[in-house]
Amino acid sequence: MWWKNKISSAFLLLSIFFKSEFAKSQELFVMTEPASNMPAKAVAMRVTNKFMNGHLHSYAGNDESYFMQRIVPEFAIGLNKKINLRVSGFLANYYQKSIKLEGFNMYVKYRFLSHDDLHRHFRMAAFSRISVIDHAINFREINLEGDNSGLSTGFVATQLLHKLALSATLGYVHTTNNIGNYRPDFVAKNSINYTLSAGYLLLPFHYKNYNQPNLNVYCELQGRNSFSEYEAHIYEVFPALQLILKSYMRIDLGYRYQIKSNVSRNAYSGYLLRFEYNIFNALH
Amino acid sequence: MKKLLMIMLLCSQLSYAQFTKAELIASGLTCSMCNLATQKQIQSLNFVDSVIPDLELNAFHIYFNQTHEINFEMIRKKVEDAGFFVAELKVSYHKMSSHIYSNPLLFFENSVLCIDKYNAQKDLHIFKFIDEGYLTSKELKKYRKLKQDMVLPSNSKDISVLQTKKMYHVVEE
Repeated sequence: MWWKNKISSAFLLLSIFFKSEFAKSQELFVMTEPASNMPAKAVAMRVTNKFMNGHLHSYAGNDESYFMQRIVPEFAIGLNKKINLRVSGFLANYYQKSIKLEGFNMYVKYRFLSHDDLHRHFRMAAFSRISVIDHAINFREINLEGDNSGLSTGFVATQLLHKLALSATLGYVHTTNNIGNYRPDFVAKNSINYTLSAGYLLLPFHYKNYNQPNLNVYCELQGRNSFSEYEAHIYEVFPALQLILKSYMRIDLGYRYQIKSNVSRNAYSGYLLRFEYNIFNALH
Repeated sequence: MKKLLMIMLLCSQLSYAQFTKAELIASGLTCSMCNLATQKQIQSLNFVDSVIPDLELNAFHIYFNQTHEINFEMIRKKVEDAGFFVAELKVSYHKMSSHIYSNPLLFFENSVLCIDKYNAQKDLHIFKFIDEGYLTSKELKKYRKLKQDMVLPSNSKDISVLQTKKMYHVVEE
């Protein structure tokens, strides 16, 4: 179809910009998901910590700053070659000084398009996310990964070209009341999210065996816009490094930096640390 | 009818032990993690003895055991389950006198190979699969005409045997 070729050529132009030439590539993005899925019958367990020096807003007026962290245990499974399921929980002290369970999140992704060739592919997938969160809503920022209950759905397209991987996501987000806490009027019901991600394989130059560590560098951009009388926008950049060990363990270290926004938030920058362990063919 | 019965009788006694190994190249791979996932998928097949990867080329040398029947369709399925595709599959075949070859078909227990330019004088053959799912889309186009030109026997008895078997088109390397 003509539009597949158009999208493919757009990614190709971007790749020329990034001057990718040789070997293989990476698309295990740190902040977003690629269109590719994990293998069928594989299981992955990961723990992510999103930490920062944050600011706790209080309506009583006694605001304070302290070390905030959100710990996200996650379990992922490749139901088949096209469908991935991820379930995660959120434990955080973003809204009170002690860490408590904030809620859960389920993410399903369906890969519906694959154009593969040697050392390259173009893939598209559709995804949906549902989040159930149980703390008060303090900010206009909308985030289904720990802050707001709601639903999200969208598409992701990923182009792999040798050492370079490029990916774009477009998602629609609908927020609801949090458990036991109404969504205040200043928080938009509907918003959109969009991301553009690039990943590059730095090491190894030549693959010899599964024990060689892989080092990947990522840069991801995210925009969030909500539409209501309280229009909100947040634009952020996420640089990250990733280490793959023994071809089944993964360590991510990322930084989040806000380029521009018109909302107040816990913190305008933060860090991410993640450990992931994969078991291939876990289910027979 | 006599010929047909002979074919069926002989086929029932054949095994896949004559296929000793295969070389598979996968497409769309990104990293050693993807290679490992693909290798583990292939290794889970009961007719596979061992898999030696060539990470630089995204290739896998697959060695078959002698105890189970080889199912090429399952190899393709396992690579796709890992999230990738077969870009090339070549198998090594040692000729057995008990195998029925009726130009261009070579009969096995549950499958039949339709071979382009089979050299009956050779003992060791390397067959490259040219069906959809075993090649990149570019290569598939290259072999489309050749595959169409492979003439199947007009003998209706042979055709009735074919209906009970999975047919693969291959070229001799």
